[in-house]
Amino acid sequence: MKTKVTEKSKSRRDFVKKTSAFAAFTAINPFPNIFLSPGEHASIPSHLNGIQIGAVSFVDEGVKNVLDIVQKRGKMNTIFPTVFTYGRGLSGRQIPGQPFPDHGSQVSDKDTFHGGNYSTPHPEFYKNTTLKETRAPELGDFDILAEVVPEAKKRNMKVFASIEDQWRSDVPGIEELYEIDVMGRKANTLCLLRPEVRGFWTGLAKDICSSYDVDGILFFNERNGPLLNALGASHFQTIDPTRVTCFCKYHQKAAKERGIDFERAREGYLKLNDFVQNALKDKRPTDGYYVEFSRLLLEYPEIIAWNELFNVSKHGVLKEVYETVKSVDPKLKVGFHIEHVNSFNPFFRATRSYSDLAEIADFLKVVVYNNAGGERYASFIDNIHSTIFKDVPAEELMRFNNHLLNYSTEEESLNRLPTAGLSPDYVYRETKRAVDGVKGKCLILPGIDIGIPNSDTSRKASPEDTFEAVQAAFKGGADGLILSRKYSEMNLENIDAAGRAISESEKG
Amino acid sequence: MEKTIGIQIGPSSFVDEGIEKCFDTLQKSAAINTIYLSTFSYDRGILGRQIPGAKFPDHGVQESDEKYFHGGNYATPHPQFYTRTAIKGATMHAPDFGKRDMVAEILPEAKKRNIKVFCSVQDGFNYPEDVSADLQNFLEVRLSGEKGKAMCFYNPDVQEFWKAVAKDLSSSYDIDGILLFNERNGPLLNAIGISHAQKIESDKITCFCKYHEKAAREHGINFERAKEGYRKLNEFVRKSLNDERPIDGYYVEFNRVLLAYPEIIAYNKLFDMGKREVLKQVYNTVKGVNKGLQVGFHIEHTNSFNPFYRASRSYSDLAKIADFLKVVVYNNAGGERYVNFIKNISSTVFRDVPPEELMEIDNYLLNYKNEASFHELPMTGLSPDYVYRETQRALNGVAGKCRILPGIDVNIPTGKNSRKASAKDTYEATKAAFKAGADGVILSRKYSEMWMDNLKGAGRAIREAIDS
Repeated sequence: MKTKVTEKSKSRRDFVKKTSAFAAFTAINPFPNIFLSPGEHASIPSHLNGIQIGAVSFVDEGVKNVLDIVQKRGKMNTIFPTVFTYGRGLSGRQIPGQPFPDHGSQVSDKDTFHGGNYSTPHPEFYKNTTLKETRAPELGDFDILAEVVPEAKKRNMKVFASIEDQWRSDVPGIEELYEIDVMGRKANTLCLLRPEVRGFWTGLAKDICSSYDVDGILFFNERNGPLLNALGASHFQTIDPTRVTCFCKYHQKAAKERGIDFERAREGYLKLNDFVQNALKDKRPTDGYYVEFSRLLLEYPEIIAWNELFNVSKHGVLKEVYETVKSVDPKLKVGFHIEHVNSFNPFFRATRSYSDLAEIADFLKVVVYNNAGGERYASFIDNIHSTIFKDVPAEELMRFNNHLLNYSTEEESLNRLPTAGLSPDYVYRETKRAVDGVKGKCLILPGIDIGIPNSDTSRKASPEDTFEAVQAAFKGGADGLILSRKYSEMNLENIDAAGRAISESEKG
Repeated sequence: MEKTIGIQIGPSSFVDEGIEKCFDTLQKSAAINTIYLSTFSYDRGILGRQIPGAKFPDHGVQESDEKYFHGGNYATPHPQFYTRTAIKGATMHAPDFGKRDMVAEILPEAKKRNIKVFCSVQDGFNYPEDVSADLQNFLEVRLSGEKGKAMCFYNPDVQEFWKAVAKDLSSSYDIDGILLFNERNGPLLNAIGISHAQKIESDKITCFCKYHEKAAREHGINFERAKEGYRKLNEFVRKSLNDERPIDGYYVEFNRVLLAYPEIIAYNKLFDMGKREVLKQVYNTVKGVNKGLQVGFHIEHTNSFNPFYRASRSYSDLAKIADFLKVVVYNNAGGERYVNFIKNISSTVFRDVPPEELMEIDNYLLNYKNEASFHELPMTGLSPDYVYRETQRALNGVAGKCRILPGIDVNIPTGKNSRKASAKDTYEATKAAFKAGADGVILSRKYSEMWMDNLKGAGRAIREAIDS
């Protein structure tokens, strides 16, 4: 497929020229020591370059074939097979309605996709949870780790099992574990303070690490706290503050232990709902949207405290997964997927600290999906422009936010952003921010956008785009990268382009 | 109800120009029907002749009063009202004009002319050295442990003092009410310099005295955590001022400090509650003397251009404890003041945002429209439309529960290169206030800095409003 040369791609080429000076630097950057076991030095490449792959790709295209492609064409030395999820972002063929890439089956799996655990769950590891029946049924007896790990090891490829907090409603035992929303209804997400839920994640991590010769775990949890959800302060959600969670008995107990008044928190979130609903109906408060919102937070500090409770619970699960894996074998590595909203939401940024995360992680997969990032960032701006910042024109709001986020002033305007995508410079800046943030305490592996589906009119990444994004990540000081989201949505020419950028960076 | 056509005036103007002549001028030039006589204050903003260094207007004595200006109580403090406070209010008579009681001298002439008299009472940021020496036990305590310069709202003697001043004036004189001035901000806003007038001195924020500690405990705020939080905030501010950019940016880092120390916001709110409590006590005290007396509060300029400050004040809440609010809408001085505010916040929390762009965003949040750019604003001032919008916002906010009397800027001194208001400017600002539906106006800050043309400009708009 030929790519039309545009002003944007010209500027991207300029960027590549400017990055050449960094190539030498990235080439001599040694593979970080924390990943080395005694005697490993000789076989370790300079970066950990991996790709996320769902089970169906191995079944459709063959394990050896897929590994051949990603190793030879994409220069991958690591794979992140999706072992547990019920979500289509990491699993299954191309998502329904999107064009298939130039490999794999060209038939949608929309009628057969189910999700679950694509390895073999061993019952002894799930004693502390009611979630015992999670085996994914759609691929028969195929055990992704049993099939893939030996082949990968033969090729000196590392294997990290991806597990994701995404569920479906017919999983046996799930009904009782759902979060409770502010209106007292059951949500469709699991409460992270429930012992059975925590028991599941530690059981799953222990099972995988004990039962298979993996190199570690990559844990995905993209969930936000109630404050950000109430405001729609993300890129992909609808705004419905009546759905915010969690107000279950476990949260009430945790709140009490922290001195947070449950009733006041609930009342605060109901007031927040009023504010949001009024904003969505264009009912401007006398003092303006932002002032009214801030006033609400001053009046109900419990709103922020409750949001923090969510963050504490989420990080509690991450920490327990980390400790569980280390208890199996301290040499195994644990990484966390850091969701896209961290990149463009300054409020979210404030609730996460790279240096804190580095205390409980060996690596962080920092999402820097620049191509899909265009429409996602625009959606985020549209969302916050619907509520708190409704008084500010969206275009100017984005420019303001760009300053707060340290995005280049050269990023496209709001209207053009979905068709232009965010620039490679965005990849560079966000990578560098993460590298600076962890201060060498863990590895930073930016998640590179390859063919992540977006709307019809939004930018479709060319190989050149992929090449430049990868180069930018290395320029930012990345310790490697993770091609995302899944092999089954990537065109091979984009994988080739990533491989080319990796080769060039290693050559110097 | 008759519109209030008020003016702030210090005793020195009556002394310098004569009581009858002053009233003649005020009535003729601007149809004044109410005076707000600066009665208790140590602040040159509402007292004394023109401030030193600024050009004298075309009336009054053309010589600075620097040699004798002191401030204090320009009425006669009566000892029986100060028995419940250790602050020696009875000794705080202003010495500027000897033993003269300016309220007693001015009232009869005002009554003769059917002019209402409100005593302006001001809680200052600091006090003259001799007064300060007597106030040591009542001053705030800084984060460093040093004494501050203003009095602590939670100190029972201070609370009793303000009640005593209000009760004394309301009981001893046939006045129409009290206008209380208190422009002080809480520690969070002070720490990040989020006002127009101040320097950023995040290590000097207050108050961490034993009364605050007690109040914090009663409100479930961990005092030590609050102090620790403010120390972290101080570090953030110092580093910002030294250009040490946090990895995640200034705004994110600031928010992170607030998330890590929710006590910072809680402690700032404690200040607001203390301030509101003093206002409420003054209101109740005056009403306790005579329900027919009116109480109003000066709502400071920061309220106009600082969205964070706006969030910490609610007009509807203030309307519950006030008969009227004097809402500052000083548009001429507002230009340079707003720019200073933007400079301050772009030195700390919003250091990543160019100030001109920050101001544009702030304009949207504040619902300002078509104002001049950041660089031009000191020279142009804020527009009459700003006066209109801020007046209207206040009226909508109080929803008829109290009266809104915008404070109109008449020649408030500005920097050398900043705009000096023409008579037309004053006319348009005054007209804008009435257009928005104001219940009257208060020409500010003090007669002794106003030029006659400007006063007449205000008067023209006033008469048009009255006649319409």
